[in-house]
Amino acid sequence: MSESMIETFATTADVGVRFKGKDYAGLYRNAVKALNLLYFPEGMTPGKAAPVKKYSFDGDSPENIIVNLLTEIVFLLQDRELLTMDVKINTATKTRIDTEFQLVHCTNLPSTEIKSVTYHNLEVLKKNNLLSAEVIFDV
Amino acid sequence: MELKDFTKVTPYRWVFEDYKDNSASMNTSAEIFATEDILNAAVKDESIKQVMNVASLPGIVSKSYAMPDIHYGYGFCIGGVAAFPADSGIVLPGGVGYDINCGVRLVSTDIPYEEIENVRESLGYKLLSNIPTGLTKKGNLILSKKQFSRLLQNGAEEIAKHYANVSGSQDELAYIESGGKLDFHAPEAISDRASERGRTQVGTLGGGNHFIEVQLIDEIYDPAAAAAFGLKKGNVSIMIHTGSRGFGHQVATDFIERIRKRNLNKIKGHLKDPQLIYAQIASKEGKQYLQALNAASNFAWANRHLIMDDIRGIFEDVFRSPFSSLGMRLVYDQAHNIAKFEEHTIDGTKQNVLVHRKGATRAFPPKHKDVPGKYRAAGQPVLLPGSMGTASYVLKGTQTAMETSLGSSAHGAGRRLSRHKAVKAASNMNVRENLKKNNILVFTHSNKGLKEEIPEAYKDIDDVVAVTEGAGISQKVARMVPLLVIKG
Repeated sequence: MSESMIETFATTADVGVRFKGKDYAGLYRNAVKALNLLYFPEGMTPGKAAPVKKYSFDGDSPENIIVNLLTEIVFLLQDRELLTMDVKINTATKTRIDTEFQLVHCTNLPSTEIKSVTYHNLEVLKKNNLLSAEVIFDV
Repeated sequence: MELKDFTKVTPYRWVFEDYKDNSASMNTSAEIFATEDILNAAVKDESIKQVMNVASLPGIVSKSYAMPDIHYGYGFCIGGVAAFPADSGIVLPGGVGYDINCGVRLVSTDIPYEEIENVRESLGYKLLSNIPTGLTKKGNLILSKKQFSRLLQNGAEEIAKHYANVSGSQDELAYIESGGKLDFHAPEAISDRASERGRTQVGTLGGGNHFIEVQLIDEIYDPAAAAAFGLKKGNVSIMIHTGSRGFGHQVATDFIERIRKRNLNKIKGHLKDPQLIYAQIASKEGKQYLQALNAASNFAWANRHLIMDDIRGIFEDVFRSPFSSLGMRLVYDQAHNIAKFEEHTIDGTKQNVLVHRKGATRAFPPKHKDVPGKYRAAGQPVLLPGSMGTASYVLKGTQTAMETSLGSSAHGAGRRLSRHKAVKAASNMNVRENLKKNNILVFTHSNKGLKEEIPEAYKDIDDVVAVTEGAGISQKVARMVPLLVIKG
């Protein structure tokens, strides 16, 4: 996967990710990958596999989907020590996501503690046939 | 936007009314407590725009304020203060922040510097080993659902009564803002997930810029107030900075979603920033958010109380003396991310208002009924932590604060560099050694976290203090310098 589809950045007080996708499925999947890049810039070391977790959410907008999807990923890692290696997207629209999280037990917790996923400056845009978005995290 | 767009009321108070064409659609003016340099930085990082956005919210009373530690936040800037009528106004989670009741607690001691010097290293290791810090999910105290529910109702009092090993006195609860407890009677406002996160995190410091700092009181500016607060030059003090942990973040996340779901379509046309989403105080969502806010505030006070108890236990172990013999007294505990109902005189009329303070503190004056009795002659303590390598200050609240800033003051130094830039700046630095050269020992599980928190990443606390004094919204009482820092 092209690394330019995902990147991390820092603001004065917080950190963020930018990601793109050809469609909503690609966008949501790359949101998760971007978050993992933020957590593990040197790469992830997968531990023992954990049961797949199904996750569905009906939102009011793709921004709403992204915030809730990433909030779930953050919770699984920071509170349950379960790392989402990848997501299998079954349905992805502007207002709905059905997915399965491929989880492993986390062997090394990241040093960055994300407190919350914010809506700050979050707007899904379409340019050059790609959807893109930027999410800022409270750390 | 430029400096000339502002009216300079004093060298430390600046007002922006609106553009000539009213294009900012402000319902009140924006008032910033700052020097020219601080104001220029705020214009540059667009935090001023955030103050203006808050000024355009419906029903805002008084002004949209910003304290001198202003910097860019989500919706509301850090250092922002705004109030709305208690009976008919709005409440906004963005005006509080995700870390509800993040705040600071100060403990004074009768331990002179000479006695701590030989035990600093051992003390540092014990504090780091025994108080959960960083990205840990569990504290040493794991509560059942019933126990947690009582803690959310009773706050710090629940710790004092049932869980503290040494800090069992309830007299000292008077030295916590609001007695360490706000009214909470709506358990249905708290999600299962929030409870799950909170039950295992009481007594944990967290990460980022949270810290425990053992300090030396090295300057007294106001001897009478310092005596009232129990601060003596040459003695050691301890400062704790942390908040409501995963519980508070989950509460904030839950309610931003709930209020958004309910209100976004109605108000998005005039909402300048999605993080300024709001509910009417009197609405179901508004009432429930305020209840959940109170629960999270109570959690944070309980959290700081248990951490203080642990610190006292460690000091007892190191000094082989009861903490009371060491004179370890709670000076004050105050919130800097909160919304509270208060009475203020606005445009000559006494009004009950909901004051939002995000990265700002309460600074009530002498004789105010909410100031602890022993401090009433001096005024409420205002605690201003600096960064890892710099001084922290105790100030006192003033009548000028009541009259010009809704009884508010600054909360700390404020970041200047992003975490990434700080790590880059520190890449060739041996941060620990540099601090050691300044007589500061630092203990942390995260070296990356240490580099993110270098002193150079923060604004100059002395500048922030100078503005609060110059503007008259709080006055210096004492200064403390760090001896030992535990970073989350």
